[in-house]
Amino acid sequence: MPVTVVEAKDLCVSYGTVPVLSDLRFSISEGDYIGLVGPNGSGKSTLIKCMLGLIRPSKGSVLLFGDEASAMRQRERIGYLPQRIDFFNPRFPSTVAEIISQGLVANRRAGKNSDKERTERVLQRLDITGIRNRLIGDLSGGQQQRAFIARALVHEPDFLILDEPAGALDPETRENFFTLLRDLNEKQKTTIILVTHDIGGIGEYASKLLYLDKKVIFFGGFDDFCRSEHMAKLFGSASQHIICHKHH
Amino acid sequence: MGILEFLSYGFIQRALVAGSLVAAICAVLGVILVLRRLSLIGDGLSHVTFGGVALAMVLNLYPLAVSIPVVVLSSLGILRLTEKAGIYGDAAIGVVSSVGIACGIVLASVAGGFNVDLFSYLFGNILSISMTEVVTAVIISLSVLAAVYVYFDEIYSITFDEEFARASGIPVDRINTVLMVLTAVTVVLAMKVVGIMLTSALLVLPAVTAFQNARGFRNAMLLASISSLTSLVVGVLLSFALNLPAGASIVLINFFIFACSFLLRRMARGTAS
Repeated sequence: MPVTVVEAKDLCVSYGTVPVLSDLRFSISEGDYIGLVGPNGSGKSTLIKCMLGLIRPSKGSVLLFGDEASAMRQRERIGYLPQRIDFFNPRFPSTVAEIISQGLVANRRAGKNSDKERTERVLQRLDITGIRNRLIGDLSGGQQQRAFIARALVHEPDFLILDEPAGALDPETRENFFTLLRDLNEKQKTTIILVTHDIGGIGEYASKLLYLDKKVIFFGGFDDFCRSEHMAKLFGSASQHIICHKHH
Repeated sequence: MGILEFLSYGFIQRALVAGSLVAAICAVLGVILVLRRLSLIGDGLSHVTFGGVALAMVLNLYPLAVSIPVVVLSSLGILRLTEKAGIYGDAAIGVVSSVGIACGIVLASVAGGFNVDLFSYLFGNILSISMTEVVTAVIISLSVLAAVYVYFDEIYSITFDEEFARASGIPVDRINTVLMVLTAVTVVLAMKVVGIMLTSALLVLPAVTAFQNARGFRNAMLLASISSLTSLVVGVLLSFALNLPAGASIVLINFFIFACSFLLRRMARGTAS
């Protein structure tokens, strides 16, 4: 029986009196590759922050590897890429290697090996060995994005949470990145949850789709989503045809 | 007078030992504070230090013994005002700072007005530093440097991206509290070196100097420390040789190094383009 990585139990989140997420119930198993989609303001980033224990639910709970997300101790099992990479001060004197080392802090705190081999491996995988000593503020958006992806991957986590990871990547790097994610998912059974607006594109990679709009609208396989009434209702029959045809 | 004769004076030795350590911890903490947009905290806490010194004079106690707990409590007050009361960081610093200086003025008045001792704390007098103050500075400075060394990865991660640090399981609130306490203690120590009026310069100037040419976070701390130590030694030498106030001389040398670094960077960019 596969291990449950995430379990949302009647999860509700409100900002003040404004409800953002209502009665979410779903479960993600080890090795799942989930595409998390939904319109702007649908609560995708809030759900991710709940999973990371950064926001506490106003009702219900999110369990991560069986523990309450906010109290979960095995943080080295999680890799996280935030939605916006322009959150940082571009003049911050930090090299790519230093940024990647942030991903190893959780490992170090857990007493796990965090030697240079992991850093070398991730630098090579993302083809950024040549910029390891460059200042982050001197790099292009795509290079910065790859540095932050490397930070999320360097400690080889069991569960990856990626909030719109491909925005700043050029088509070739994007393709390589998605191939890398597929390899991690298939060979190392890494569980992945990937937030995206590219509902057609995600069907090529993800095994399941979680469609959110303050509540769970759909959770299941992409093929089932294509056949469901939700697809036509949400995107219209013309878009449904294009998206599902692209997938097949 | 030769440099060896100069260095043979006990008061010069004490000034250089205590001053160098304080300069180093100010530089290291300054890099963190400036990057976290908390540059003004040194200014705010030094105003509170004034209140602490005035209170010590009213109670006829040793100024450092009273100032350190008063400033530590105030720094934690700033943290709580920011976190719990939802007040912006700079506004919280403003509140605590103005209350600190107001208390200082009232207490100084109760103690019989501004006397020579209080002025020595306002403008600093590193050349009059006592052996007890040197020992205090050595113990506290080494403790601050050890704390930064032990928590370096966590501090760097929080400074760069607090949300990611929380997601990584770093106890952000606890480390922020430790950083505030370290800053408070450092500000009290810096008061004797450059005076209450100029303490924030010792935190901010070496950091902004380092940022002109730093090639990473660790490198920024190293460059800031070199800049700060150089300013301290040259400032003490100049003040003694030219009979100038030591604190102000140290700060002006700091600014001179910053101006040179800034111009070097501009010239390097001009050459590159």
